[in-house]
Amino acid sequence: MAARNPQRFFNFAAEHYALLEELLRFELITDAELLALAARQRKEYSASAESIAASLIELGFLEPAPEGGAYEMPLPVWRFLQYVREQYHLTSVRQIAGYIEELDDLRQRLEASIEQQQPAQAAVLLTAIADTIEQVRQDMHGNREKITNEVQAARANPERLPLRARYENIARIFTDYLSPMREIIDPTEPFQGQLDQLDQTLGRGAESLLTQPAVVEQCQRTRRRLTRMRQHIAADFHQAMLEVEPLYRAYREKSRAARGASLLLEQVRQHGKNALTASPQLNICRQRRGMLFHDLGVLGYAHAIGDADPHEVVRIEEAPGQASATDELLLVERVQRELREAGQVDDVLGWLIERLKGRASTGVLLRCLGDAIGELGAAPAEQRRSHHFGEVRVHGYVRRLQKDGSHD
Amino acid sequence: MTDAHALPALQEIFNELLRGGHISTMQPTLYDALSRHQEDFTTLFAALGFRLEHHPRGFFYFQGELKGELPKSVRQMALFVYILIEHLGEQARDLEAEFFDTEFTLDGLPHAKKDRYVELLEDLDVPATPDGLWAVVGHLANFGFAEKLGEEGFRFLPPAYRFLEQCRAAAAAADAAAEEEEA
Repeated sequence: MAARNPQRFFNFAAEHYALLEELLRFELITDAELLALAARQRKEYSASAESIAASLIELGFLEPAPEGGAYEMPLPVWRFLQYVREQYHLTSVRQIAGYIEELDDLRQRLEASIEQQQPAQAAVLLTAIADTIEQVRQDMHGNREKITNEVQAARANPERLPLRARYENIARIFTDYLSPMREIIDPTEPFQGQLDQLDQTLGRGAESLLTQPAVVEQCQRTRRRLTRMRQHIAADFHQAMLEVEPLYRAYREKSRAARGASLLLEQVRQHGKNALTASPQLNICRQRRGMLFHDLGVLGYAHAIGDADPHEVVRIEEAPGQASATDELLLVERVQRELREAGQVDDVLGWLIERLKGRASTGVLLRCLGDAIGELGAAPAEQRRSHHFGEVRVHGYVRRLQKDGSHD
Repeated sequence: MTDAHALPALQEIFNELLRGGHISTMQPTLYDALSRHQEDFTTLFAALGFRLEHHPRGFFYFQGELKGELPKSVRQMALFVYILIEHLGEQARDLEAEFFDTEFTLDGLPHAKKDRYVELLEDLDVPATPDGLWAVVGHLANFGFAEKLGEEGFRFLPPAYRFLEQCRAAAAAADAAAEEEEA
């Protein structure tokens, strides 16, 4: 392969920059697409589309894709152009952690070459260490820039996406990229220990390889790079946090209702309809009867009397064998409670008659049945049945109550 | 305390609240009476064993008991509203504004459009049909959470904030648990 001429490379890039920007949008580009694009971007009096396409390949802006029949931009060129355009991509903390592991491996080898007084080997390792340090620094800075861009775009155009999607985008940045970065700057995490050890090794190298001033200088320069990297990472992290955290919290707050609805629906899906239980927000008063007095004012006074402190106890005897309105009301409430607690009842009317016969009027029986239908949802089955309640014959569809309060 | 007999619209207010209704500015006479004599009403109802709540969004209701399972009609309403909130969360730019400002129609509802929703509704005996969904809208209107608009439209009223707050509380609890786990 012929050596690439850098001057031609940059001249071509300057002359056809619009074309290169267009190319960045393609993951793969076919011959036909490339020719069409070159023809569109071609200026008057410039080379033909075929010639432009050939130059793109010759200068290394494009190379054949592994699939064949198409071209792609080589990664270094893509990264270079993105860097020039200040377009950054997010690097995961896992990737960064990989670099730091690599730095640790290089450090151990550098340590050995210092001990064995092998300056040539040390120089090679120092170059690799410096490259990796710069890679980490650039990637972390890229993360900060990318995060800042995304946050600014979200702030500038909040209506672009539905609320839920906005939250999920910011939450992804926060939880996948930003939050784990703490591990890298946290002095208690192992990463810091590894970087401290590298710093010490570089210091030892500068002291031990005194016979090789160039390598000593390289050690000192790499050490300064390491210090700068650590400072920049901490600054980038804090700046990115300042950008993202308020927006993350704001979106999290705004999206709470929708996220909560999904959580509650998921609970119902997993645990069934009874997963919806009482809560302060959803407690709805459901009382229809049971009032001793119809006059609320009197009722209020009656309750207030309950707080009075009588000077002497007065006992009022009831007439024997005569059920009072109070007794009847208490009976209704007790039967209603027992029915609610009974769970499954196959014939509600039969159940009520068993409990009320000889103790209550037909009116009380019907009132209890009405409550069972209205309040507890006792539903009719297909079967009809007759019952005797004192002198009265009651005939109708069997009403059934299921265990969870629901009906058939 | 004011003489209970002198409290305006007492019986009407009590009956409405007792059956689980919410009194908002949609019922201006009752709302005005409650607002003007809130302390007296609160005292009287407390003496009767009921806790009158005045929600900052402008409605009154009786707080129910915090025990036992919810009545089926309440669970049906809750499920219906949660589905709508989840749907709006996926579509809306401003959920709360769209929740209260939209005039929903039966044919625009998401409830019958996803199998997951249909199954959840059927499990609570709500057919995902116009009639089935309209019946739940009827419950919502009866309790004062919504107002029916014609034969197949409705809009939510301020008391429906209670459903939004229930959802927010669920998410806040999950967020707090996640933060605790991280810490």
